[in-house]
Amino acid sequence: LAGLYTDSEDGLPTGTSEEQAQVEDACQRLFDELAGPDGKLLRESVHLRRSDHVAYLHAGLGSLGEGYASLDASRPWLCYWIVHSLAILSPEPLSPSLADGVVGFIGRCIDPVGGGFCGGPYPGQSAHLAPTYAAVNSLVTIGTAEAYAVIERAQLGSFLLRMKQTDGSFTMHDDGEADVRGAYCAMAVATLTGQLEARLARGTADWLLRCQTYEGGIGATPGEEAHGGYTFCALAALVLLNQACRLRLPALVAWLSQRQMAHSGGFQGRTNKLVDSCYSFWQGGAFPLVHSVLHDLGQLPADTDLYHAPGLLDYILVCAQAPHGGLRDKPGKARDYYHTCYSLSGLAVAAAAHQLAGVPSEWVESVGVVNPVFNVLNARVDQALRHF
Amino acid sequence: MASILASGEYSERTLKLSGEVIARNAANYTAWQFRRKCIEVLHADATPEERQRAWRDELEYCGKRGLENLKNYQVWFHRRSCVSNLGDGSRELAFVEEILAEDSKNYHAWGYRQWVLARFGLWEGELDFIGRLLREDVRNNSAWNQRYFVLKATADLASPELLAAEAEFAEGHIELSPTNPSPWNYLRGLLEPVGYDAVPRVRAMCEERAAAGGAQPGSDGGRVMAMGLLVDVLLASGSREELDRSRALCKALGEMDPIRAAYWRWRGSRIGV
Repeated sequence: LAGLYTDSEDGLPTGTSEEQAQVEDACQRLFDELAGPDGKLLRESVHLRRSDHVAYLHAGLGSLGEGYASLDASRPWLCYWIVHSLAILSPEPLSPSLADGVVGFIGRCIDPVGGGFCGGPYPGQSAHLAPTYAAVNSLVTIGTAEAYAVIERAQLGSFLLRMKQTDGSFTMHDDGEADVRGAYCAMAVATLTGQLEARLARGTADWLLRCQTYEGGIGATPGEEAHGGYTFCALAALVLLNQACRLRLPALVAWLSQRQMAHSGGFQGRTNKLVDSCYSFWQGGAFPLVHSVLHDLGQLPADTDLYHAPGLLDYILVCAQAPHGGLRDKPGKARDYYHTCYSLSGLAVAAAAHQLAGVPSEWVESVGVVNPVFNVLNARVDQALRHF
Repeated sequence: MASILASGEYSERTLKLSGEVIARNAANYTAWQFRRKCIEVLHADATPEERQRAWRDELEYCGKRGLENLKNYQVWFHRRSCVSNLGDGSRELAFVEEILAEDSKNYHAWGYRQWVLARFGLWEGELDFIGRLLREDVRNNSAWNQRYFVLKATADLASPELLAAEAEFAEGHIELSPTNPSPWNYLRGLLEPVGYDAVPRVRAMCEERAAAGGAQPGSDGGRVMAMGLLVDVLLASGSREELDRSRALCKALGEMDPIRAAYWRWRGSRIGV
């Protein structure tokens, strides 16, 4: 990719610059393999390996090997990562038998006493906001009557309220940690199920705003370093609360923009950290949110992107796609369902960008249209909002 | 866990069993939550010393799991609980330092460290600690963030003396590696709320670096960083001439920093609006 170095070793190599150089070399090798006679990436020779990814995703809905033991308390996440990825890649809905399997499994993760969804079947595990978010997103993505029927609205609402703290934050579970993820999961689930009410929202925006740092991005709790995952969560929660305009927006946009890597086109999560394909969504997906806030304030014309969508697509297609299906953090890392989901989510966001000059239509056509606030197919979000 | 929870038994036996669950999956938050409840129940009628002993043992267990699972929310939250119950954070900074020696940017470690500092007021020595980390790697943005955190909690961020000293600190680090975004972001973060004219030498430094003098093979000498900050400095001043210059800088940056071309174009369009 063209462009002067905006960061380099400056004759003072440190751990950060050495790692950065290694990753740039690995990415550059891939770009070089696909370069045309002018030395630039020949985009037409790069393909989105749809059927390979679909096969990898379907395999994940079966049983996962021992390597996934560490995700045993995140099984609704695996459902979401997989069904959402499939929804982005293929226009046909999940087969009825697969859909039933997922819906049935998620139903077993409900806490019938306290409400909310657990990381695995109840009563072996207790309710937690992250699997709750993942469960609701999975059910909304599947979008059948059976899927909706799994959600017991009032119970879910009482779980969300129980997680709410007096300072406006949300703990992830009873006697658990509170950070911006909690607010996002609660706001998203409440909105989708039509129960974002005053009691749930009170004080949350104020708390979230305290998490914006001197760098302009947002951290997990007040004082913590600005970080892509938490920035997305806080921004999306504030959008749902209709209070995103209270952020220091110029600083946020400057920070977000600075996170796109000049060399590879992908995004890093924090200043001076390495590119990672999952930030294709956490950082890349923050842009449509910030675009809409700025647009509503009359500060951004409708057809403008504030990031480089073709560059992001280059990273996802060239560097993140794994050889036999699935997507990975960066070259040299193994594929996994989390990175597959968030790379594809970033792809979907970028496919909806306005400035896509030079991008092959094959990369972006028939990619599902995603609602960036929830990271669920737009059509399914609309359907759910009408239902609940 | 299902049968343990169903039985409602909080005992040494079930505490031990929860350890086996955690050994298989350290991210099993249910098991960690269960352990905390277990210890509370087991020592509900105990003496303070016995309770302290129990939480110390638990802290030791937690420390071992922590070293095996550096990026795990549950271990760090559990540690916080143990230390809260003990009311003693004296050894925690050393523990975090040990973790940071392995992984100098570990997000959980830094967040936990911030909690310890604030909870126990252990601010003294922290700026020195940050200095040591920056000597190892000037590009450690977590350390820069920590510096801001410490000063915000312990000093007056509007004080002219502090701002001058911190600007000098940042500039010294820019000198070492001019393309490193961390000190530039730090400067901007410190001065934007109070106004860049609080420390006039910052503008002078930006002007100098923006004037293309320091470029070397493979490095632009901090030119793009300086031009970016200069846009903000000039914007703040507000004179017609300086707004024009600011706009011109955005135009130039659109070409020199092409991955951000759309951003610079938009910024330029917003100047004077």
